[in-house]
Amino acid sequence: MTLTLNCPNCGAQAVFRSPALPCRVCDYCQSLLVRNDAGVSAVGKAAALPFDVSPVRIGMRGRADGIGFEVVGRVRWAWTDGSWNEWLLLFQDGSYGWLGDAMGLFMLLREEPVARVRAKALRRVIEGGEAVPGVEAQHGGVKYQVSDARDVLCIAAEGELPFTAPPGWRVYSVDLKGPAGECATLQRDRDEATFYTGRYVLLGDLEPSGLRAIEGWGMPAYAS
Amino acid sequence: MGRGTFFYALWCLAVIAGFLAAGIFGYSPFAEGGRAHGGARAGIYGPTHK
Amino acid sequence: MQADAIPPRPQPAVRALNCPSCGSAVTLRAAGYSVTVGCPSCGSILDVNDAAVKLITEYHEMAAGLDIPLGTRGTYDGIEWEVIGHLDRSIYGAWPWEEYLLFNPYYGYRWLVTDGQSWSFGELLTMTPGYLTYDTLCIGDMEFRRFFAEREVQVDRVIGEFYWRVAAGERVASAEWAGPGWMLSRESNANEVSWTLLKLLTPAEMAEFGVSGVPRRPWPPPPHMVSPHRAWLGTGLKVAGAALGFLLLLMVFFAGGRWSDAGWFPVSAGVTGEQTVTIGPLRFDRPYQRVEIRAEVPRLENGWLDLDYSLVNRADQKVYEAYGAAERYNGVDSDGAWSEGSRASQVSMASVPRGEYDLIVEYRGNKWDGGYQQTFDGWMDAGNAPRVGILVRTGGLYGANLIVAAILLLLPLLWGLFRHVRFEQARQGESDFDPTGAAALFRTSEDEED
Repeated sequence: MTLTLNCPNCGAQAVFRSPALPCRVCDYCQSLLVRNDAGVSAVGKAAALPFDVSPVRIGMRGRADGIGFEVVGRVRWAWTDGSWNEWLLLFQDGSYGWLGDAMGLFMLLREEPVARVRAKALRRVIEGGEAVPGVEAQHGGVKYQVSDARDVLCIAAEGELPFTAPPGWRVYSVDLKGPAGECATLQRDRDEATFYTGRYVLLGDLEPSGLRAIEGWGMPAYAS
Repeated sequence: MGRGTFFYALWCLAVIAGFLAAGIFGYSPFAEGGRAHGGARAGIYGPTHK
Repeated sequence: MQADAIPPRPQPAVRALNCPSCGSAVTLRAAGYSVTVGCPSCGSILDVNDAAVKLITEYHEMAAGLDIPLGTRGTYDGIEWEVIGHLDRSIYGAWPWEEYLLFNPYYGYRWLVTDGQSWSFGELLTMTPGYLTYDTLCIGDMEFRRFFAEREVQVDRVIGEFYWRVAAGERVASAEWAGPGWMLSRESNANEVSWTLLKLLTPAEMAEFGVSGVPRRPWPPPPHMVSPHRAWLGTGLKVAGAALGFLLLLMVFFAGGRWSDAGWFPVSAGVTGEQTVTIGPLRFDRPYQRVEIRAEVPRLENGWLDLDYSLVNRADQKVYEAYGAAERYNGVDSDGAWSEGSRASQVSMASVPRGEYDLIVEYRGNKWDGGYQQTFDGWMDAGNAPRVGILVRTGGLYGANLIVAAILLLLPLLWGLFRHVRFEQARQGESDFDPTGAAALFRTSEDEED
C-alpha cells in the first residue's frame, strides 16, 4: 500500500501510505505534493509551522475505539482570535480521522457524508448560509448546539493529508457541541462542505506513545 | 475516623467509666440520703393544690 | 545506527518576546495556544496570535505582586502545573476575586480561583450538567444546589497569557451552583456557554503552589466547603447511641434486688410526738451499695407521715441518714374532687459500705386540717388502725445517674449541632437563595424578612 516517490521540487523521498490520503507536504522543502496516475506533482508551497507546544507530533501512535492509529499529518488553522491544530490520524483499518487540538482540549472527529445531514440549521450552512450560535441542530440522535460560527484560515500544514491545504485557504467553520461531550464541525469552502462528528477526549485515553517531548516537562503518567 | 469523632468516642468512654464507677460505689449525687454530716432539714407540709 | 532510531530533540517549551510597550522580556509558556498576553511589567495587552507581536492596549502600571508569581510550578493530584496567567475579576468592581490560569502541555488548562481566603481548582467541562430539579444540577452522582444567581462579572486586570482574547472590561454573565466540596460555574456571553467545575483546595494543596497561610477554617465558609462538624456529628450520633444502649443494658443487668419486708408499725393518734422503731440487723454484702428504703402508709389521707431513717453500722457506729415523707391530700373545689400525693415514700442512701446495720426509723404522723381547727384525728384515728410498713432493698443503679450520663453524652453533640447550624447559616448566608437543610433551622423572623 505504501508508495514512496520523490519530491519533484527537491528530490527528497515522499511517502504516501494510504490511497485515501493523496496529498502531502514535503518534509524538506514544504512543497504541497499531490499523487496522481502520472506520479506526483507539486501544486504549491506550505508555510512553515509556527512554534507551538502541542504534545502531539507526527509519528505519535495511539488507540481509539479499539483501533490503533498513527498521526500522519496536521493542518494548522487560525481565526481572528486564535489558532489550533487538526492532527490527521491514519487508523490500522485504513480509515482516517482527525484529532482537534485547541485551547488545551482534544476532539476526536470522523468525517460523515454531508448527504446524511438533515438538520435545518446545518442544511442552510451547506447551501451557503450562515449559522447562529445557540441554535440547536439534531444529528444522529444527539441534540447539538451551535457553539461557534466563523471564517477560519489555513496557515500551515505538514505530513500526509486527504486534501491539499494551501496557506490562505479560507473556510467557513461551524462548531457544534452536544450535552455529553459530543462535538461536530461543519466546514464549507467555495466548492463543497464537509461534516465531522465525534467527541471530546483526553489525550491519556488514546493510549498515546511517542508524544512530543517538551523541555522542562516530565512525560505524563499516561504516556506509554 | 476524624479527630472530632475520636475525641467524642473518648468522651463517651469517660462518661461510661464515670457511670460504672458510680454504680460500683452505689453513688449518685441525687440520692436522698447517705453518710450523716449533721445539719438540720426543714420541710413545708400541706397540699400545693390551688 | 538507523537515523530514525535517534529520539527527536525535545521541543523547547517557551517562546521569548519583548513587550512592544515597555520593552521588558515576556515569556510565552503556551506558545501556539496563547492569544493574549498581559505584560507582567507594565500590564499592556499584547496579541501573540501571529508571529509578530502586536500591542492591543497600552498600560503603564506597576506590576502588582501576585500571590503566585507567573512561571511558578506546583503539583496537584500528581500533575505538575505552571502558572501562566492571572485575572482580577469582580462584579462591577465589587466582590473582587482572582483567577490564575494553569498550563501543562500534556493536560491542557486548569484554573486556581481565590476570593482572598479559600482556593479552588477549576476545570472546564466538555459536557453540560443536567437539571435534577429546578434548583439542583447534577454531573453523574454529584449534586449542586444553586448558590449565586446569574449576574454580570467583569475582568479588571490581565497579566500573563491566555488562550482567548481577553481584555480588562470584558464582561460575561456568571451563575454558580454549590455542592459538598465542589462548585459549578456557568459563564455565558452572546456566543458561548462554558461550565467550570471547581474543587475546594486544602491549605496543604495550596502550599504546593507556594501559597502559605491559607486558613483551614475560612469565615464565612466558601459556598462549597463541607461543614467540618457534620462528619463527626453523624458518627457521633451512632457512638452516642451505642454508649446509651450499653448504659441501658447495664441498668437492666444490674437492676436492684427484691424488696424485703422489714415490718409493719402502728401510727399513734393525736399529738403523741415521734415514734421510733429499730429494725435489724440488716446485712449488706457488697463493698458499697445503694440502700433503698420504702415506707407504705395504706390508710394515709389528708395528712402526712415524716420519716427519719438512720442506718447505724454496728461495727463502727457510723450513721447513714435519709429523710422521707408520705403525703396524701384530697378535697373538693369548684372543679370537682381532687387528690394529690402518694401513700408511699421511697428514699435511697448512697454508698453504704459493707457491714451489719440497724435501721432506726423515727416517724410522726400528721393530719392536715384544711385550714380549719378540726378536733377529730382524721386518718390517724385509732379506729382506722393507721400503720406504716417498711421495706428495704439493696443494689441497682441510679436512674438519675443514667440521666446525667445521657446529658453528658449528648452535650458535645448539641454543641456540634449548634456549630454545624452556625456554619451552614454563615455559608448559605452568602447565597442569593433561601437557606436549606441545617441552615434553615432556628431561623429568626428577622432572617425570614431578608
